[in-house]
Amino acid sequence: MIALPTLAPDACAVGPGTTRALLLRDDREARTELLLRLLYSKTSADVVADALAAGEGRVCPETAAVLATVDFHALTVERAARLRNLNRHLQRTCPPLWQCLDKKTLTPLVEGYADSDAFWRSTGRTLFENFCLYAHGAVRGRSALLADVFQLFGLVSRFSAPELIAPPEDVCACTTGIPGEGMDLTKSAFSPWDDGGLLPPVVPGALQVESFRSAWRLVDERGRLPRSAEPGALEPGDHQIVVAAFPGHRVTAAALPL
Amino acid sequence: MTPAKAQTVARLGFGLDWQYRDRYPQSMAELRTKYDGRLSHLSVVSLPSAGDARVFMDECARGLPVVHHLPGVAPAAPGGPNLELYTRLEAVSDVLDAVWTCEDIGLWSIGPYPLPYFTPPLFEPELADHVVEGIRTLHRLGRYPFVPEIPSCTLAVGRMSLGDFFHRVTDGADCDLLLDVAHVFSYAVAARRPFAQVLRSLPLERVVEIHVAGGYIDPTFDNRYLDTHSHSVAPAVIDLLQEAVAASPRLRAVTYEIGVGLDAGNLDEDFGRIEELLGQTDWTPAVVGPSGLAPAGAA
Ligand SMILES: [Fe+2]
Repeated sequence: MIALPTLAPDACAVGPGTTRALLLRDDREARTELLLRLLYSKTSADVVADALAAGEGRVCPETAAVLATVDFHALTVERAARLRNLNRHLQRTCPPLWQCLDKKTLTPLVEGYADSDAFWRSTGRTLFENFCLYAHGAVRGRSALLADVFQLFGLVSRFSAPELIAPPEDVCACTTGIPGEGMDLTKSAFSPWDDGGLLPPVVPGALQVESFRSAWRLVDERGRLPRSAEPGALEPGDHQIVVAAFPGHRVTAAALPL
Repeated sequence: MTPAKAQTVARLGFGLDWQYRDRYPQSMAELRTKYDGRLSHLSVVSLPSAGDARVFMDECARGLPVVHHLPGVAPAAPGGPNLELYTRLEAVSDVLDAVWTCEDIGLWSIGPYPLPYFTPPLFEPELADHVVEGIRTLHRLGRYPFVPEIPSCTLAVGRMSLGDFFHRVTDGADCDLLLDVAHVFSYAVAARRPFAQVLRSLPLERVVEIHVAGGYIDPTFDNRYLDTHSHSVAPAVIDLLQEAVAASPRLRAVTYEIGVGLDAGNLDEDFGRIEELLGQTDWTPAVVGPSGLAPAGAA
């Protein structure tokens, strides 16, 4: 397991500009989006509180009247509960990632994700893949290994069966969900991941194959995902990491030496 | 028939989640058998396909009327209801021969992802009017009545009260209402208002179904009620149920929503409590769809 120092603010952090722009708009959609951002992003909540305190000119009057009804103390409690829930949801979607990386690494990344613009942009096929894309970008400058780990788990989840969205204990249990249609794996779709300029190999029977270049053997000879990203836990060496999707949402991974 | 059975009147139904069919204290099918003769109907959520719905009908419903609880059609969503999902789920309603469909009014997603935490709408007139438009669209396109449900609220934002908001929604859409008494309680707790007063502020004359379920007030923050379905029903929620049944003249069904964390003892105790409470009123369930509903597949 590897623990990173607390993340410094970086290019992936939320753009307060988006919240400021929403505050100036006078429409229903902007007010609803502001409500959602308040529930997940501390940065947005701080921008809103500042703008309300500053008054005149920074908030559309109608929006200001709506936001005046927010109990900011209750909002803080609500946001903390939602972040715990998001953390649990992502963990339940892909337990092996939480076996590979420790909470000290993952929890700040989940919080950073909820506080970032990436949370509102659907680049990944699932919420979990979207998180991996965010985390990949957030750690890339500090640890190529960690970035590769997020790419591997993101790709594996991309091809896995879509999960039923069942709420954990502290959520209204009425509001459960059903899976989306899921990605049709017989049709190729644009991948949001960088393939490192490598062509994926032909994998007999696979519906889709994606690959990327890594300086570590991320997958062992039996196709097992890494259980640790500590230095020394993974064999160094230039590899093409291959993830293949088969009928029935079966996914396999391999590391081919380059 | 035993004398005990002869006295039994089916007064309430279970609210079940298909995802948990094997994870309740007993399986869904076993629960159905255990409470045979005491169930007026079933309400079910998260059936993904007509195939699953057929299994549910054969193994669980076994002749009981069924309410189809929808997940995430969301007439309150900024872009209006998800009509692709609604159309897909109508195939499920067909198999269930649903007496009506229902859904909590609120926000269910961030972009295409199901949000792992439901959000009630802004309680504002513009949102109520938007929900009205969405319900009208569902009624125009669908073959089953859509009944909006009062949502659970851990935080209430907006200048309207819950009562004013739902008066505006149901008047505007001219629709029935699903009253979840635990959700009414959650709003009262979040808004720091007396819960009986919140109840009386709602359009009770439009209520056709009541939900009741277990939950608890957050021990670290007493303005937050957690609607878990996996704890005992709070005494205040039982009081609200009693008052709601007496004050809802068009009530047809009372649904006890259960969660997977509930143990068999708690479930049985709360089932008995609710059954006894309903037995003390002169209300009886009438879980049938509206007459004149076109049968599945008709023109
Ligand atoms: Fe409910």
